[in-house]
Amino acid sequence: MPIIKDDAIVADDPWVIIEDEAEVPASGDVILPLALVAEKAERLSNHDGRIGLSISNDVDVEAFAELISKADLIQLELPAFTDGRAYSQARLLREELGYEGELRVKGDVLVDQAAYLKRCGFDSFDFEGAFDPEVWQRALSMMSTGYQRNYRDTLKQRSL
Amino acid sequence: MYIYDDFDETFVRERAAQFRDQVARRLSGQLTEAQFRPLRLMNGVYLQLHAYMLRVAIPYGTLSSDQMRQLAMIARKYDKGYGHFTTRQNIQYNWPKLKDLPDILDHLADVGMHAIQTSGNCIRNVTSDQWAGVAADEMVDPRPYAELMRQWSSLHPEFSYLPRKFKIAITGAEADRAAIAFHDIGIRVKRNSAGEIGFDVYVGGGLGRTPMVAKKIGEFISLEDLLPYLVAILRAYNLEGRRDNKYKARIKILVHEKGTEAFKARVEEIFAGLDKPALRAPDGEIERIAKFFELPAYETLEAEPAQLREARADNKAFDAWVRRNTAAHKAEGYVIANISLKPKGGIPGDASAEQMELVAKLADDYSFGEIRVTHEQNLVLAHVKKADLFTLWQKLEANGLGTANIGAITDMITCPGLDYCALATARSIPIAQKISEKFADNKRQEEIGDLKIKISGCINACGHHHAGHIGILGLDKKGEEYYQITLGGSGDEDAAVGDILGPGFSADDVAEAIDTLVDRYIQLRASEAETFLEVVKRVGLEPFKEALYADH
Repeated sequence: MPIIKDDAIVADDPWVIIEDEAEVPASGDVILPLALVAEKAERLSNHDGRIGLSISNDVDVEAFAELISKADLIQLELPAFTDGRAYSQARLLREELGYEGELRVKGDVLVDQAAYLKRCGFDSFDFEGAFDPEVWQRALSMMSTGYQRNYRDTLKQRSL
Repeated sequence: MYIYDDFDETFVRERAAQFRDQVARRLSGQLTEAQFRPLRLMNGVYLQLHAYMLRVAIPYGTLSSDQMRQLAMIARKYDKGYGHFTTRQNIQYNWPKLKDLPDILDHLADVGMHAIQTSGNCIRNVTSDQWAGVAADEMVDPRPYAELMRQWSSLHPEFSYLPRKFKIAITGAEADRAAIAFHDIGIRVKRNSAGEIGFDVYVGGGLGRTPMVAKKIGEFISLEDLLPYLVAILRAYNLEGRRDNKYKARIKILVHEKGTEAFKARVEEIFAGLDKPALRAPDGEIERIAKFFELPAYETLEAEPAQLREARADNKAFDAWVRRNTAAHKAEGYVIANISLKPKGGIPGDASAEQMELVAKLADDYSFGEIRVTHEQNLVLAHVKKADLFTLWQKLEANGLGTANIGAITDMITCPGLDYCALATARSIPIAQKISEKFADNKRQEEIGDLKIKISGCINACGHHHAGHIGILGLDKKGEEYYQITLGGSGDEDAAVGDILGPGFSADDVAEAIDTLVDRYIQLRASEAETFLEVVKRVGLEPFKEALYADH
């Protein structure tokens, strides 16, 4: 499964997803479940490497503002492409909590959703299946206009 | 009415091109049907019983004559020569081919139209009062705000994968002709004594399996806070709405389970944290939009022209049509003319390409080239001179569009039912046709007065049966269609959900049962002025049950 960032495959993504505390390596960049980081903050403070948070889509992100402010990466979930909760979580992270680090989406990303995800503040994508840069670029470039202003939005807005 | 600028045009053209690309990927197999489904739905394309169905957005039900002519052209070229106007003020084509859909979207874009978000789990076409801007009882013209919301909700990056569909309706009158109480968000725009505009916001209304009347959570929200407030509601819903069961996924269930006060508190909490300036319309945008809705240049006319008086005295059929089908207009000497799409024995809401073209021509000749579509599946010419009314009626009458039944018993809302719909459990259209035949006599209809029948072919309630004074719900019992009757619903400002009378009726017996109910109403009413709904509210269901079931 490729990691896509800046519309290309990241050849050497340093992040390793860890589910269990027992499997946390002594060093290296790790993405850990939010609950684990919340519980073991002290132990993890000595971790030699960056720590990313994986946050499931039923979590009220505003309740974890402090942890989020310290995270080096946040990963939100799209368990099915029809489940749009992560879009709102992303906007809360970017706009309410002021999170400026890497925001990654993992799961059932459809190429046709990439533009919306970017507009909500995501900047990297972790998904199953093949990545076709041509299809990806085309999907991203089809709409040059948008009625809503969004995070780091590059779309053309109506100018009055 | 609103006319696209370059920005809007670029937007719909790009969207049409994007859909062309998606259809091509589907046809070549790059997209599976499961992947294509949400994409096509967001462009108004359904897969029905017999064919694809395309639902075209008519934002807040307003059309220009040129747009209507284009709809007629599409009906002729890509469908079987007709279209079907819906309860969401849209039009549906029942027989387009998948490969033709991109071309149809291009034809729509040519006249500033689209099919964006007429389906799917996203914010649907914003609906409004069909008499907006012209009704004599209106406080504020809601159309500029309806257009603002149309733009804001179009391809919204955050709110395109909601738990379920999301419908917004807005009115600017006390009389509710937009059924705002039965929408996910219903809005009433008002003006206070200082002349400022504010929006009362209702949330959690809906029909379907669990009918609910919307609750007010926002009181006189200011214009600049309107979009941020909507964002707060949608965000609360997107994050917390149920996704485990599609029948419990509408916002009405969230509001109900959470409690209105708790939901309101959550919305206010989100609202408080929003970067509101970033969510507002750009400076000057509302003024720009509002300019399109300035009233046309009305002439100074006599309030009650002699021609109209004389024509009504000379022609009883015309007089009956004027009484039933016209409504008071803001401007002196003008009137709102409603065109019924419920002819005797017809399919409610259907119009042929020829009829669409005729209405377009009549709009050009008599109503500033503008047409409205109503949620009750009729059409409106909103600015007709009283002095022109007789000529207009003659032309309508000559083309099967002169039916004098607006608000009467044969002016039924009817869903497509099992004749078209993949979800239906029973047919709706033939039931409507039988009722229409039975009550076609104008004298009888006039005797009965205002009575709204609404028919759905399954519990999803697209025919709004819960909100019918008489509601009819088609169900399936062991392969047999049968019809449950409810009484006392209303979609208007006195919004209420109807109550079930008792055991259902077979398709052959429904019209007869309605006849029995109507007879009982006429016996029960205190005077001709007491409507069916008023009698039901006064006497309850028992006398009607007795009339229907005593002999059984």
